[in-house]
Amino acid sequence: MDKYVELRDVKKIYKMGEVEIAAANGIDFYVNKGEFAVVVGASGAGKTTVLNILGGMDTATSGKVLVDGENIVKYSPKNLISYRRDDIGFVFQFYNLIPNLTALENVELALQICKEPLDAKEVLEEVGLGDRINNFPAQLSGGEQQRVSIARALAKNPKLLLCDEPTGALDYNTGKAILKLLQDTCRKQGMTVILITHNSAIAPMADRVIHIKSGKVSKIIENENPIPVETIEW
Amino acid sequence: MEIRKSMGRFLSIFFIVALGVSLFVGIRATEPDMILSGDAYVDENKLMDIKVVSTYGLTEEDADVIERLPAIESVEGAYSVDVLCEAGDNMKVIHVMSCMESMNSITIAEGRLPENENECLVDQDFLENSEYEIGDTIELESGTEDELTDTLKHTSFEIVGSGNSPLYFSIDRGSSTIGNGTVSGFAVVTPEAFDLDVYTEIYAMVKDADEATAFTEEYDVLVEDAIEQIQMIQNVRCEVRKDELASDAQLEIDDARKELNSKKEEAEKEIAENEDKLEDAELELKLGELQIESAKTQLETMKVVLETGRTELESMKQTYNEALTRLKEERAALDKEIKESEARIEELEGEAKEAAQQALEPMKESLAELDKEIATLETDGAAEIADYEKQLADAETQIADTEKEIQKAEKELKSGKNEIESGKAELEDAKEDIETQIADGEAEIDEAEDEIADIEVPVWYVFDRSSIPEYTGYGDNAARIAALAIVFPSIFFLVAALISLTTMTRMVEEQRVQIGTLKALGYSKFAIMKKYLYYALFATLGGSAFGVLVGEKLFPYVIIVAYKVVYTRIPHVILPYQWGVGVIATLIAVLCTGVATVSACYKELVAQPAVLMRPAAPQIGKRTLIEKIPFLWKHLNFTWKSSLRNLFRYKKRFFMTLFGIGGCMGLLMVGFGLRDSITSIATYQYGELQLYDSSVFISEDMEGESRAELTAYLDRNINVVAHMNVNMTSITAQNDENEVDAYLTVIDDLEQVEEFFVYRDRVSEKKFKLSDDGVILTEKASNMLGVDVGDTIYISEEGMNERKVEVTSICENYAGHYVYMTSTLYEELYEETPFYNNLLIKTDEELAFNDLQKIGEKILTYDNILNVQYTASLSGQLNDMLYALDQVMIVLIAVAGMLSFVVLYNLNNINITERRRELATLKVLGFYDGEVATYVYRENILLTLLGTVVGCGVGKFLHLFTITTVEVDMAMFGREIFPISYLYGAAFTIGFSALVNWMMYFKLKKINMVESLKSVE
Repeated sequence: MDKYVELRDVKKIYKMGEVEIAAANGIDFYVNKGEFAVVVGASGAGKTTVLNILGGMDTATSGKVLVDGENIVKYSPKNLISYRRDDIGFVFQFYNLIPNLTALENVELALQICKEPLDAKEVLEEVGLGDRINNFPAQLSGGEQQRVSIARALAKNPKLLLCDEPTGALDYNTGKAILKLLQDTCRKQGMTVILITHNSAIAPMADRVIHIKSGKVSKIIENENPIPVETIEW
Repeated sequence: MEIRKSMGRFLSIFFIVALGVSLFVGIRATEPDMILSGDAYVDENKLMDIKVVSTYGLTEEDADVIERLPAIESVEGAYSVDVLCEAGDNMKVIHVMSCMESMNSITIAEGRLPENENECLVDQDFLENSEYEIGDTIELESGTEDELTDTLKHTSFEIVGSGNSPLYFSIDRGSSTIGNGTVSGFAVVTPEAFDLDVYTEIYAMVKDADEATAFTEEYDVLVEDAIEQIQMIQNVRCEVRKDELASDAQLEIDDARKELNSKKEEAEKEIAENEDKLEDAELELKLGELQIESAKTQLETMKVVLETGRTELESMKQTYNEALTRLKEERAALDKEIKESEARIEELEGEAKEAAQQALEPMKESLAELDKEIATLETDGAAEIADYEKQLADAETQIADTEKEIQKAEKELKSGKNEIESGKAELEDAKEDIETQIADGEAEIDEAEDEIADIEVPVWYVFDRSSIPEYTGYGDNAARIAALAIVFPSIFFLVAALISLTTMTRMVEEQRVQIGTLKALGYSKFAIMKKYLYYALFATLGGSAFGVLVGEKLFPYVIIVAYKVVYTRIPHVILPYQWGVGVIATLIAVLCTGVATVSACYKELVAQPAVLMRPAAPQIGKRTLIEKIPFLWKHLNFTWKSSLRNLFRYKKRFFMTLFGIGGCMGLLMVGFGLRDSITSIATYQYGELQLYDSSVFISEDMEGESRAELTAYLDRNINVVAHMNVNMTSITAQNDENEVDAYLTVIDDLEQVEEFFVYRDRVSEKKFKLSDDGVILTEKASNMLGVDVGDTIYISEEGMNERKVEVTSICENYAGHYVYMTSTLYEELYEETPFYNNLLIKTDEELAFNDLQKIGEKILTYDNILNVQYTASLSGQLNDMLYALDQVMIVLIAVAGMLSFVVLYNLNNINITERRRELATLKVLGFYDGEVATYVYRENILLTLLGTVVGCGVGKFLHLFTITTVEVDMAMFGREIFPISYLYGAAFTIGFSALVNWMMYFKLKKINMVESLKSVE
């Protein structure tokens, strides 16, 4: 299969006066189209940096980041915005819904800016919130809010779904349900999903597991037979 | 510490407090500052406190008496006269006054004071606006029938300097009864330059008045007392003056009479002498006639003698001839005889012959004798005849001579007679002449005597400084500004309170965990609150201090400088700090922010620590009213929806912004509205209500004939569209509670009145007609009296002649107060026909002001014209006010701008910090910077628009309040704000908002998307 997303010797160096700190010190990995990839690493290992760079929120100091053949490291800030707008779906740890908009409106908000959106209501039904679409975020539970967040990301019909600790703020069962939703989405729709987590226990559900340590990829495991989330316990 | 972390927030409170405080203290301090500045000026220049003028001048003695009054510090007499001088094509009126030693000091701008009788110092303003320069000679003319030399010793003066007099407080130079009626400038000459026996005015300084601050009650009381004292002696002095005048006049009359008498005698004597001479001449003439008579008789006798002589000569000649003939005959006979004898003798010879011859011898002898005789006769006779003839010729010449002489004498006699005749005629004439002269003299004396009888008791007019043009206005202006000190700053204090409230609420919310921790640790509520109170207090006190320091200097300065457009010559701007006002303002500010802070903290402080430790439950999104209109709501996109919900969710911010923007708009509306109101006075009063261009004041002495001439002149002048007689009298209109000084205007010609006055209701613009049933009263007067249509008012002249009339209509009017009445009603009320002392003139609209002035000058050449006023010059004064207002406008715009800036900045600041995550998320979702910005701005824009709409209302109210406070009793400012001003105000407000938004754009750009990954605080 193609290398749909590929990072080649990606470095991110912050200059703090004289001292140079490398948050990412030559990261290399790739993810194929339709894969469910998990990036695992301890706090400070550089996984957030990877996420920022992949999500177009930050640029790498050097190296190449190829998404569907395009090197986004060379992108101008404006191009990066378009990239985020059209190619990326983002699922946040804390959902980041607009408190003043209902579930449906939160999804629609994202849709109004992209080219080929899906139907907001359908997506919400898909994530299992068909009956809560007119509720405000404050009226929804954490899991429900995260479902709205996922629906918002999916409805944009992105090339890549980036998830930042999507279960971090959720309880065990809800978290599992969310992970299942993500895995199902990947399988059913052929969506490329990259999930970033510090919880290595969920690694077996992924097609590809990338371990990051001290700004470098320590190992990559290709999982030929990922297991369903339901069977994982942690 | 905390402040550094939240600089924007701190500065918001700091600046709004600074604004409120500075405005409050600034406006408050302006009144005392203006008064102090004015006081310093008048004290420095030793401006008089009291001016006394009299109808018959004032004497040295008057001055002495006034000086002896206990309340009077010093006095000085002075002379002044209004004269005309040429300036360009026009004759300008100049007030010439004598230079004074002890008061009314002239501030010299250039050159020096006059030292000689023929030098003068000229008004700086006048000099700058004329072509005269220092060193030039200025020619003065009298504006009346009297010669200028009656008053001044010289009529031309050399300009040696320019300067200013404290007697002219503003650019207004007062009015005059000569020229075009408006004084253009003054000139100062030495007292010696005046040729007057008495002072035209006496100036006095009141004891202790220079220590009292001018324009204050204290000063007014002092001067009032002094005036009362002067008024007490005034009657006595006036009587004295009258007697003096009368006795002076009597003396003069006596002298005149004496002179007349001596003249009479002299003339009589002379006539008598002349008559004598004439008689002598006649006598001589008679004698001459007699002489001629006798000469003529003599001539006659001479002629007779000559005649007889002639006859004698004839007879002599006859006798002679007869004798000669006879002799000749005798001789011839003898000769014949001889011849015959000889012949016979011849025949005889010898003896015979001899005898015969002998006999012949005697014969021959007798012949010889005869011959001899004839010869003698011939010679003698001829000689005798010739002699006689000569005698006769002589006598003839004599006669001719005598005749000539007589003729000459007769001629002489004739001319003598003529001379005597003309002498007689001359004498007759002279006699008549002298008689008429004497009669005239006597008539004059009689008249003078009558005049003495007519000498009225002089009247003194005692003025205080309010007689100086604009002096009172200055004090009033100061007082009026103080009245604004409450309303305007209160907007700022309200906004300050709201800003503190929102800011502190936000701060407390942000730190709820910290508060919870402190509470859990056992800190008391107050101890925790202290931090926030100190924060607010610190910002407030800092802002107050800043506001007091800047405000007390800046605002009074700007306002006073603005007023200096009118009060050009007040050099000082004295701006002492008035700490009392500052303290009050600070207290108000502290109270506002303190209460706001406590109320912001209170909710969190009562909560349980455990609750505080958890993040605040997000506020539930609420649906707004607009959502109930699906049609509208469906068409809004989601950022719009979110914005609208935000807007109505945070009420404090909503009102803070609304008041802030509304206040900003309101302030701008006040500024632009003030302009409109003042413009209205001119445009409405002189453009729509009083349509005449000039009014001519006519003395009661004007005779019907010259009045007819004047009317005829106006009829002839093609530029004069219409003219109308009215009676304008100063009256007091009153009812039971109030009174108002107004002009009673009696209209003669009801057909023409609409050409000159428009009577209409201000609001409905309905027009009224003047009727005989009652009067039309002007709006402001009716408000001041509190009367309505149908009520009755009393009209009186200085408390006399009270008449009761009904108010039939109330008409729109802006300048002055008027009571309009028909002449029929007047006659009914006063039982006399009114004297039309005023002539209103309406000219062609195209007519240039210069040409109007020419008409005015022409009118002034008629006798008994007191004054000509031009509507245009009244409008001009209003334009000066407008100009002064421009400076105030700039301040208002600046203040309004700062208000909206602070409010919007604060709102944005809170919104942005609070919604950091939201905005970061939007960025992550791929919203462009512009889209993110519009999301935030939408709220600002909506609030700005809403605030602008609210501000229109606020502005209307503030404007109405301001003009009713600021306006003088004598005028009504326009109540309307022109639509264009709403546009200006809105443009400025929106502009300010745009500016803040533009600045915020950079702050928005800086928001890091990584924020979105952070946990909720």
